[in-house]
Parts: sequence; structure tokens; C-alpha cells
Amino acid sequence: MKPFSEKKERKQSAEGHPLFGRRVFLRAAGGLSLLALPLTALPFPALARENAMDLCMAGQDAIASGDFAGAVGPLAKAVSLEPENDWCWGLLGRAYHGLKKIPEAVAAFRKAADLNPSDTYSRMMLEMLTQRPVARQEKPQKPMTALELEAEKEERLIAQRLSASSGLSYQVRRVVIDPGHGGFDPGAVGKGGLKEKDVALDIALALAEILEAGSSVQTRLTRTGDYYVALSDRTAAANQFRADLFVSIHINAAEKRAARGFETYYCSRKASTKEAERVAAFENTVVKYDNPAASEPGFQIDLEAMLLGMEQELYWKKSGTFAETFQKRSESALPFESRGVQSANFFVLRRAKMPAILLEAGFISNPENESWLARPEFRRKIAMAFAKGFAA
Amino acid sequence: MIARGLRYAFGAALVLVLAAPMLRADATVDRLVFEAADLHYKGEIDKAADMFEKAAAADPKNVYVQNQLGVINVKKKNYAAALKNFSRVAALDPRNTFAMRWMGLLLLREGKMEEARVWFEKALSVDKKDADAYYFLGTLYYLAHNPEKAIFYLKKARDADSDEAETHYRLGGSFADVGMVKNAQLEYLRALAISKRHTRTKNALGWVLYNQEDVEGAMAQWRETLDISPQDTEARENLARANNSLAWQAFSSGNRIAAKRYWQQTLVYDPKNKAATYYLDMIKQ
Repeated sequence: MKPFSEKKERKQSAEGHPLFGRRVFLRAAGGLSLLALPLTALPFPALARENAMDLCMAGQDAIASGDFAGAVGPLAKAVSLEPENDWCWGLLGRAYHGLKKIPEAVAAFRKAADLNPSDTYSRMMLEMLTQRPVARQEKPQKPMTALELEAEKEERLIAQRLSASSGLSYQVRRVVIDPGHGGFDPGAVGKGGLKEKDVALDIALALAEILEAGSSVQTRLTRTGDYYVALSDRTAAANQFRADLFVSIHINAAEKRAARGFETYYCSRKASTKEAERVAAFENTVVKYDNPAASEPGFQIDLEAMLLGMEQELYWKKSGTFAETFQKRSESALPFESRGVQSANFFVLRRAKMPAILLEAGFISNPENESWLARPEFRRKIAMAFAKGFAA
Repeated sequence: MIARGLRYAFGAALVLVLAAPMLRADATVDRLVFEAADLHYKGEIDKAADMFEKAAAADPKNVYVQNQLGVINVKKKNYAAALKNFSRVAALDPRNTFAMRWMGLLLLREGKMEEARVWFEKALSVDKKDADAYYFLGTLYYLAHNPEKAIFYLKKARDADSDEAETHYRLGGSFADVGMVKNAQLEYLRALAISKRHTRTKNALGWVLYNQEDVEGAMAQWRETLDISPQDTEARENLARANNSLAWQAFSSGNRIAAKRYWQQTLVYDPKNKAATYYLDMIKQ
């Protein structure tokens, strides 16, 4: 036996149990209000002044003799007198179940299990009965709040012009373009004095312009001028804009001047197992805060943590796909040598909550690459090649 | 105390009387199932699994037992075994929506989104008001960044049963994705009414408010997130960004004192923020 204290058992809601709530999809009949039954309607006036315990005993006797209809009356009265009595609720569930009144039985068993999660019988019956659909009661309508009225008006205005595609392929409509460095941080500087921050900004501005003009993609830049933006600020901007894709633009540099070409990076689980563990650990912490009951080890299936893990996995996978596409499209459009797709643990990539790639458009340390990058028309060519990557 | 004693005294007998229609008129199987369910609740999943296996051997068509074995296998991360359990139930019981949703989820876990969708839709074909099936379908589209379809299904989940914070959270996000900020705000507030410690909702609500120029309201949400979860990186980054932006505005209008104060705040939330460090040094000089 697990040494659960009575207090703890009672404190733990049914939602916190592994077999309740969305965590394993057992919600079915929503809150039948058994308490709403008028007491005067109950057909046993002789018991009217008796206490819940006596009523429950009477109900239990009726159940034991197979008189389920006769049990419902005293038990319904008992729970109205003592709404926190889980035993009475459990018996009421049994009586309804005997009468094949499944929604009522589900509601009573749910109440019993909510009040006392260690009531195995009620819990088990609830699990069994809700494996299949159970009828629900309509909820009463409440008057609308000011915000609800505003939301309704907004929905009338906007929702009708939304058109949905039914596909499950990943959709990119909002892109955050991140020109690396800026301001006091020039990034890499070429022998000829060309600065990474200027080239990256120029390509980013051109890319945004091309995308906005030629497609339904909306863009946002993390910086539009020569100033520095902190790394954390860049990913926060992507979250603020609810981007579908984050593209960071950089120019590479190496000690060996011969190094040249372009490459595309993405953050992957493979590249950073420790980071993947950290992300998973963090997401589990988030779920713990969102739902304190989720912190019960061994008891709970953290369904939302599972979904968050899937989300992260999906974004990393998509990042890899985008990286491959960008690299491939650029290979045919640019004179650069292709250095392929790499995965790495860049801050801006791992902190993004969407697919994210980092483009290294040539080597500023290579004299030939630097001379190309110094030409505005060549930078625009790069931007046009990158824009083709979005056509994937 | 008396009530509790009586309940347990009668409990075993009632199981045999009442569970019969659900299970089988086999007292051994009933007892195994009851004891296994109790062990499962207590977190003793290995013992529970052994007992459920015995029940399954005695009654191979017992769908409740198979579902419980599936859930235990998920807890033990034996996903392939769990898929077999739920698939067995789905074959035995065409109305078992519990198993259908799990089939969808386990396939989604493997990245098989189309196959997952088929199972959630199967659950809906059995129960048109299955809030969880709608929620998972909505989540599928949410993951695919298809907000219109996500809204379609998440609204149905909400209307079928609005007692889950996650439904409102994802619906809020989908509304924000299509620029329906009032609806986004409303759904986030509904999520917080259900779960006031839902930090992901607070972080997202902050941006919805911020984008409507309610900067103070946004920052209050993120500060509350940090009260709940002091290590929340996202809330820290959001606060750093908001303070940095305020600092820029103050600096650009010549108010260096305010700029200094905001950049100092930026460093409180993001101590390695190079921009704030640099400009604070510049102001000092």
C-alpha cells in the first residue's frame, strides 16, 4: 500500500488521477445536478427527518436486494443532505447503474471519486462506463461579458474571410527574419573592411521585401537598422509575432582564408542531446506549474507534456526539412560552393518555439566571397535565392 | 469512521453483484480486475499490470482490462505494446472511443499525423460530442500551424466541454494566429479561470495584451508567471524585451534617467543582455 494520508487522498482531485479528465479522456457526462431534485418529490416521507447515514443504509439494503429503483430515492436525499459524503454518492452510482441510467451513474461515480479518489470501485466503474460515449447535459447559458461581446463582433468581422485548407502539411505565413549582430557588434569583418552586420541586414531587408511582394507571407525583422539586439530579444520577437518560421542570417568567417561557400544550420535533437533533455525537463516543469497534480510520479500520464514533446520534435524535424530546402534551392541559384546542411546548438535556434534555421551566406574572410558580398546586386541575388526556399 | 467501515464491508459483495453486467459473471476475473484497478491507482503499476494480464488471460475479450494495460504500457513508455492493447480494443469494441483516442495519440507521437487524424475522426463518428477527440484534432492542426482548422475543431471541443484549460489555451493561440485578438484574449482568460497557474497561457496572453499596446498589463502577466515559476525563461525573455523596448523609447526621446531604469530592469530579467549592458555603460560615460 502506498502510504497516502487521508488528507492527501482527499486533496488530490480526480483530475489529478491518471485515469481521470483529459489525461485519459474519461470526462463524459458533465455535472448532472442530482442535488437539484426537489426533496418533496421523493417517495419516502418516513425517512424525511433521518440523517444521511440512515438513508444510505436504506439505499444499500435496497441495492443488495436488487431494488435499484427503491434505492435511488433515499440515496438522492442522502447526498442532498450530505453532499460531501462520497460513500452515498458511490451507492447512488450503483443504484443508477442497476437501472441502466448511465449518465446519472457516471455523474454519481464521478462525484464519489472526486470526493475520495481512493474509492476504487467508483473509480473503476467510472472508467468502465466512460470507455464509450455517454450522453451529456447541456450547460445553462450565461449573459455575455463585455469582452465576449467584443469577441463575438470580431468573429463576425474576421472569421468569415478565413478560408481553411484541410491539409496537415506545415504552413508558413509569418516569418521572422533575424539579421545577425548589429550596432556595437559588427560580427565578422573581412580583410576589405566589409562587416557581417551590414551584409546580413541588407540581405534580410531584401528578403522581407521579396516575400511581402510575391506571396501571402508576412515578415517581421528583429532589427531594421544598425543597432544591437540581444539574443534573447530575437527569439522573444519571434514568439511575439507568433512566427511559423524563424530565419537568422549570418555571414561566416574562418581563420583559413580559403574557407568559402554557404551552409544552413538547424537545431536538432541529434546535435544537442543535452539540450533536448533540458527542453524536455523544462517543459515538464511548465506542465507541473500548469497542473500541480501532474507532479505525482507514477500516477499521472502527462498528456500535455507528451504533446509539448511532440511539438518540439516536430519543429526540430521541420527545421531540418527547411534547412535542406533552403540549401538545395540556393545551390542552384548562387555561385557559392555548397557546404551542406549542419545541425548545431545555436542559442537563437534552440530558444525559438517554431522551426528555425540559420543561414551562413558565404565567408567574409574569403577574399573572393567578400568581393561578391560587397556588391548590392549580389546580396539581392542571395535574398532571391533564399526566398525560393519558402516555396517548399 | 462508521460509514467508511461499512463501505468497505459491503464493497466486495457489491462488486460481484454490480460489476457482473460490465465484466463477466466470473468472480475470479472480477476480483482480479478490482484488485488490479486498486493497485493501478496506488501507483504500483508493475503489480497492477501482472494482475491485469492474469485477468486478460482468463477473459481475453475484456476491453476494460486491455485499455488499462494500454494505459500502464504508456506509463512505462512501452508504446508499441500500448498500441497493441488499444488496437485490440478497437477491433473488439467499435464504440470504444477511449481506445480510439489513444490510437490517435500514439500514432501522433510517432509523427504519423494523417493516421492519427483518422483515429480521432473515428472516435467522432461514434460520438459527435467527443470533446477530447475534437481537442486532439484541433491540436493536430495547431501543430501544423493551420489556425483556421485548429479553430474549427478547438471551438467544437470548447463547446462540447469547456472544463479544460488546454483547450482554451490552444484556441487562444489559434485566434491570435489569425489576428482575432479579442477572441484570443477571451480564451486565454477562460484558460486562466480554470487554471490560474497556467504559465504558458500567461506568457501568451502577455503578448496579446502587449500587441494591443497594453504594455503594463502584459508585463503584469509575465511577472505573475515568474511568481509561479521563477525559472520561466520565456517570461524572463519577454520582460527583458519589453523593458529594453521601453528603454529605447526613453533614450530616443532624451529621457536618459528613464532609459537607465528600464535597462537596469532588463538586466534583472536577462543578466547577460549585451544591449542593456552596453547602453548602460554608454549612459554612465
